Amino acid sequence: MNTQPHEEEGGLKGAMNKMGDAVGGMVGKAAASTAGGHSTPQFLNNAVIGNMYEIEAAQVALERCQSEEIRGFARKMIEDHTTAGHQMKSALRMHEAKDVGDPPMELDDRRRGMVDHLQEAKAEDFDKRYLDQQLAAHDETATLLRTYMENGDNPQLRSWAMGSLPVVERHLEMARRLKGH
Amino acid sequence: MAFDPMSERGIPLERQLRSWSELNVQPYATEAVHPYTRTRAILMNGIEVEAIMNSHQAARHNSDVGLKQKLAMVRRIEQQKQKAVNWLIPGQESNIAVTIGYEQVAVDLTAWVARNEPDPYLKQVYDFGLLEDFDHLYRYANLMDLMGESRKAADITGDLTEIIPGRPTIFEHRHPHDDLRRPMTKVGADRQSVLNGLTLVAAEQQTMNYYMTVGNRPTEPLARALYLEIAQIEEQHVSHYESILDPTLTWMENWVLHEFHECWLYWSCMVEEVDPKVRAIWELHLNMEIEHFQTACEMMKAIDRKDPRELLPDTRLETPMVFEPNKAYLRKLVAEQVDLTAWDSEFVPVATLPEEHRYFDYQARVNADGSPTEDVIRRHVQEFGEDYRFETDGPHPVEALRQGESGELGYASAVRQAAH
Repeated sequence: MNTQPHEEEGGLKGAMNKMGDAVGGMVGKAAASTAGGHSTPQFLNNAVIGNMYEIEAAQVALERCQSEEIRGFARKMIEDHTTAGHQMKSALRMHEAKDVGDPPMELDDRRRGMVDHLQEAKAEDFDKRYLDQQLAAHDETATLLRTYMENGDNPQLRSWAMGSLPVVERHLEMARRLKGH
Repeated sequence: MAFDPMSERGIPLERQLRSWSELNVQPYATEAVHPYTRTRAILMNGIEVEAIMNSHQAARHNSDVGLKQKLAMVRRIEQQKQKAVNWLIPGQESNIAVTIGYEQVAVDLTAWVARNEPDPYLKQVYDFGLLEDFDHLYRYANLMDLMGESRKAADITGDLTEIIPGRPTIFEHRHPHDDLRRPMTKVGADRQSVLNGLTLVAAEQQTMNYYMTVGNRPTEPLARALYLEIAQIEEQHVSHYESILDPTLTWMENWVLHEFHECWLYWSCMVEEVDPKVRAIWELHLNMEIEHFQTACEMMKAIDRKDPRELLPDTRLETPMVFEPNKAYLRKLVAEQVDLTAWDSEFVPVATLPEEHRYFDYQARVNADGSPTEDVIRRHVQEFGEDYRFETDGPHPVEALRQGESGELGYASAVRQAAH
């Protein structure tokens, strides 16, 4: 992946990127509580992409963030979402999940855009932009996991959602604390 | 040969208690016993210990007095069964001789489970643990020689199990996060997968407990060191296997599965046993377990308000667990998977880990002053000119695990250089 900062965003572009992240997050959360959290193919797609996004975003944060606390948070995101990715990979190798299809291998446009926005953010805006994305992304993921855990039809993926949800909720709490909410 | 513990009649609970003299069974004759009779006795002791500890945990987490009474009654009987089984082991067998028996259980039990596991991920979980226990047998066999035992390890195992290096124990030490696997689920897993998982948890747990207890009994520092190093791996293995079990089972579901599992294994022992006196014990215990299983099912109906058939739609048992040689399977496995380690729930070659991976930090910490499992081979070579191995099917399939001209294993010099 390219972790080199893009050319920094100007005033109007910065505002549009920020708005794009916020709207994308709202759309993502709405989808997570409806089809995304009920349909197994959509759940698999969103869960895996959300996990990949967390790792890529954290890698950008390790290069660009100003705060040592946020750097520690980013390291934790890489560690925990790597574990979640491994657990998903193992789940997909089990008979219980043999009919759920293949996971996506790369980010979708929305999450690619979010990572791009982090790379383009002005240095002085980066920490805030990253935390804003983290709040929205973890809120969306928690909704996705909770909805599938309660309504999904594949027992192995429900089990994965159940095991991952408390971790994601703790991440959300950490992001809120860092943001000062 | 099928058998259904749901439809058979067992011995009523109130008639299951035995006197001290009935429990104090005649031990088997150590020189004459079939090695797999010994392994069955060791395995079933582990199964009883797990049944007892699981029942204690259930009692500590439930306030229902009636349930506590049922658990206490069945548990007391399980305790008696544990005595009758474990007292088959004769006093003439030293701790190290019994240890060889424990490791033969770990090898041939885990190999059978891996070969009979329908789920591809869980099969890899078993294969991974198997190669590690395979190595423990080799390390302890060398220790046995050094402790001045009159018998060799192969006198305990017979010619049924090869004693050669597996995944070297020094490389088995991993960060605790890397011993956690993906759990199966009660609704999605194959019934055989559930039985296999319960079997390995119980077997590894008793091995861990045994080394925790007897590991400090030798006076020889190398022996004490070897036991403590391998005991730590057994803890890793308990974490590894228990993490594949469904953590969302209710206490009653867990009890029902434990009793069904005991029925399967006592039935397996009964159909496979060659010693008539020991076979009679397996048969008696099976008849007790049938009643325990049906008691647990009744409690599940009363407390969970669920039909046990939802958990176990089919209770017919058709495939017994069999202790049998697995030499070709193990040789192929060690050739193909010796270099694997774990990263979270996945298994990967060590060489593919990133340089900063926690595996290397953990290795550096615990192996900082060397490794007793390496020392024991070095000491054996010093005293006898070569290591002890029982190789029946040709040279080791992995060149680095063959003995060099100096008596040292191929990988050992690299380990020594890395340490300095």
